[in-house]
Amino acid sequence: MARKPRTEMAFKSGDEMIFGTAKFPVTSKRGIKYGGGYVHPTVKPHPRPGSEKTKKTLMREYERMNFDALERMVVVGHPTLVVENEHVYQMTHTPDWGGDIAAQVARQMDDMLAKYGLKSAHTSTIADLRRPESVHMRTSDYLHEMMASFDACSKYSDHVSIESMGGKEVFDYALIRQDMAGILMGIGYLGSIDMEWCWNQIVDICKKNNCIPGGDTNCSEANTAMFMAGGLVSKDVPHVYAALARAISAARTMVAYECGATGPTKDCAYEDPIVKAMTGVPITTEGKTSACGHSDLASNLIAAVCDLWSNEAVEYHDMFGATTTSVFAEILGYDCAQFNCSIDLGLAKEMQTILVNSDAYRDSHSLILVPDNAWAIGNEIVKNTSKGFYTRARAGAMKAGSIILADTKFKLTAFEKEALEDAMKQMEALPEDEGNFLDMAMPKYKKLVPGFNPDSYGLK
Amino acid sequence: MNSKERVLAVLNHQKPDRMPCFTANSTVTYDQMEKVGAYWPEGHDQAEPMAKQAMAAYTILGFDVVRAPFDQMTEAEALGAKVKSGGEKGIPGAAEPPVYTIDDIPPKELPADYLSRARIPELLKAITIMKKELGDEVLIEAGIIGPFSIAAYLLGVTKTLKASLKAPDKLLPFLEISEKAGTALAHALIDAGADIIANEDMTASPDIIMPKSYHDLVYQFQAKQFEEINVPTILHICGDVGSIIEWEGKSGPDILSLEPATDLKLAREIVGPKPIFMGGADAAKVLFMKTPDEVKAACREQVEAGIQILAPGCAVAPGTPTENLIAMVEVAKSYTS
Amino acid sequence: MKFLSDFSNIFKRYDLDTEVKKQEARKISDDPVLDAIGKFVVEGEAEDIEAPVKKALETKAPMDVINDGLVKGMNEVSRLWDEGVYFLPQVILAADAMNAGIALCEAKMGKAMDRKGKVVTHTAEGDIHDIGQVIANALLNAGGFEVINLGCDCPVDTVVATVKAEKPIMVTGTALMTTTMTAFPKICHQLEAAGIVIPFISGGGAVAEEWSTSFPLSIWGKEDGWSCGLAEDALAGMGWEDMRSKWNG
Repeated sequence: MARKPRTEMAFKSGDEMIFGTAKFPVTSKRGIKYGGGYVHPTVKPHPRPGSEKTKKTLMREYERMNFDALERMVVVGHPTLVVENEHVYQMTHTPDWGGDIAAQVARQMDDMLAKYGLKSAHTSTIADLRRPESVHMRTSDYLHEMMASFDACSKYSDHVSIESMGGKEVFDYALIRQDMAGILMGIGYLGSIDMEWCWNQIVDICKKNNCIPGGDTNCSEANTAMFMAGGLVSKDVPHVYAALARAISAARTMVAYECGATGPTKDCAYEDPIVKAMTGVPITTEGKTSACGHSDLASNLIAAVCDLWSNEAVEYHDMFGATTTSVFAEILGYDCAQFNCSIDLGLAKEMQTILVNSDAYRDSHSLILVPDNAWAIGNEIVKNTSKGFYTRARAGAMKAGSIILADTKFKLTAFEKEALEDAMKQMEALPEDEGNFLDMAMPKYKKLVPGFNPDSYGLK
Repeated sequence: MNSKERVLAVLNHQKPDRMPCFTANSTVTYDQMEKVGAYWPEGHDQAEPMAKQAMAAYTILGFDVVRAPFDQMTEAEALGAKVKSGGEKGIPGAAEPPVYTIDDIPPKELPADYLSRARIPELLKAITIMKKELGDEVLIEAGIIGPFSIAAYLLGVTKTLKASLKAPDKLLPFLEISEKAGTALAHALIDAGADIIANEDMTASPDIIMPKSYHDLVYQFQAKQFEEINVPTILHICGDVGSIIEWEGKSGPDILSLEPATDLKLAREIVGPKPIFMGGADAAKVLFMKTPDEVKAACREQVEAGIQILAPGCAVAPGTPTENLIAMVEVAKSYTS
Repeated sequence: MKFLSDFSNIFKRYDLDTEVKKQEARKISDDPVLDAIGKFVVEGEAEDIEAPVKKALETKAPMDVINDGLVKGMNEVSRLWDEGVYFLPQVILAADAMNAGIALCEAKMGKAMDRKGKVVTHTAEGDIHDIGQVIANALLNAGGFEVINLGCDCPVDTVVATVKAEKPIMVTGTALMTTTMTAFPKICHQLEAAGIVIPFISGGGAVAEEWSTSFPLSIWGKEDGWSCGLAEDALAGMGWEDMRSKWNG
């Protein structure tokens, strides 16, 4: 299916956005309506190391950890649950492994619906096995395995997703050098090109198998920046660079929805509040319940406009209360009960105000994800869509930077301020025109980044 | 592979048969002087003994490169700085008072006879001898001094540090002439037979000046210098250089010589894959004072952390036991590919 | 959307708090003139400091100007240096400013200020790297000790002769090079032979603890920041062996 560039905002303002409601709700096979008025929990279990040794041991692991989560919903009375399984290497590398696991969980979910009336759904997240610096993005065996895996899983899962890797080789080079041109090149340009190429195929596969094409995330780049920026007192990578990379990633991640993906989106995309403002698809976000995998500085705020509420992958283990997947599914379900109460009490906007105030001024990365700010960044991106991937990504990043600098309540340390002013100067000096940018950037990164192969992106 | 092929492989980012061991700094010890029958102070100002002492690094220790000179005064002395002999035990150093004050304006160009001044002719001769004797088996390395350190010898260290904060503009002409002095010496050394140029800029260490001063005052001159030197280059700056390594890398040397104080993993993330990391045991606290076993352990730790060429962290202390230096070579030999 | 005007009950910006705490010099004094003096020390302005020192001396005792303005400024410099905010050049400039101020105060008193005790400092023979010693001098000065500064490249005999003549409470030696530090045990042996038993602080880049504590009288001085603490112990009459067991090992 051909990409349809988005040139208008789906939401008219940041204020119009609220958790639980999307412009374009999506309904799962067993009847969960995402973005149809309420928030639903998504739990993401992860197998223990060693369980992937044989297909049999891995299937057994998934059977247990997925069932534990489903069962806990019944125990405490949560009405819905999405289970997301992020593929470990073997599940994509050997497509029938992932497919058989998806079939297995589908049977479990059918049973739970028949037995208790629990509505549940399954996401298969295919592993992007391509390391851009070492394999060809379009012709390697890995690519064929991934597409075969999408085919196998989309026969059983409600929705499929991916965390695609395009542009990571250039981004990795650029981030540690605080080189905005390289970050724009890696995420904004190469990432978008690779997504368009992948998602056109993924959407076709989903249509054939009657599966929902979920979404993508810039986990491999913008989240890398966020992890490297780290906590408040960490200074390895300036936090403002993580914020700018995030704004750029929104322009990139949107490509999936321009190509026909519909959401629910992939949860670790902290760019999704911006994506929702632009596209209106139901989004999944993860926040405080991701502390098992990593910290973030927007744990409550990131729930402000979510439609599904999720955790970071939690390894399957025993805790005092039960196994980790039961425990996290229960917590997520209770969080959703709280959001949904506020909706039915007519207090959703108040609830949202609380969530946003909790974190908006903790960090620059949080600040740009405040609904009004996320909308404003999205607006710059769609306004520039016709000018190309690079130009709209740059416009989004410049808007994010100016939001941070202009907010009088938000204080930057001298270190962060200097980094942001420098980044803004770098971006202002870059050409607005994509062709002019590429004339400069292609030879530069071909020379500087070992393993950057333009042919991987259909470029010369 | 012989030593020459081994080091060339590393410089070309290919796999050597094993890790090489050599250094950006002086290798001479009292023990080696005895063994080759050449002593200080002659080794600092006469070509024959200088070459003998330098070659001992290969013939006695088994290092993969031989290197001269052994002190840091060559350029400054040729620019007029007074030098105080180190006698039999030490190296020549700067004598008080310095030749310039910060309010002076140094010459814009090098004197016409610069390369025949002070100890330069003997140093060039020593390099030619080394090339003739060992040129087929090992690469010949020659040392120059970085612009900031030469300037500090011309002005006095304390005065230079003050000026780095209070009057950086007044330092610039000194850095300019110092850069020219190092570069001109490097060209002459290459003509004389040097295959590698090592640039020591001790005073530019973040232990001594602000990282910002390195960026604002030193970086541009080092970059210019490396640009003009057409053989493989090493940059050595002492101490924990984590705060300036981004700029060290950008200045363009092929090899960065690092003391163990620097976090190698972080350094690699910052500078990217290109610069080759050289380093190993701390020259004073381990090589000079500890046992061969402790030297080996310290070296292995550094190799595991990312060192690609094993080396003393800084200039070898002349009192260092030979067995400690050989222990280091043994560690290098154990890393085969 | 409604936003709070004060988030202090919600979260704490450790990044901002620690930056402000570290980067900003603290107030030196409530007295505006003394505060200005302290500030010029912190900023290392040896010329600008003269006017406020002269102004302070119109109404205040010279020793008060020294202790409440100049020395407090230097203490702040030493804190900023410990925090990693200041580098050597700033400390050297601050010491110059402090000494310029002290000179004015001493001129007003008509004599050198009273000091707690003498400390002889030197950098080893053959070693021109006296940076560490410059800092130690500044800190000892600020701590109220009289520093007899033998400078860099100082021969063994000069150190021994100076100690005999000046009768200090402590001697320090700085060496950045492994070639030069071997002078320290020689000095210590000669002092012992002459019946002079005082603490000798071995410090500098090349000097390791194990070696420093391998000959009599010597105590390893890890960093310049230890200078005043060591000197205070020596002043209180603590012997070198007790000092070594307190500061080293």
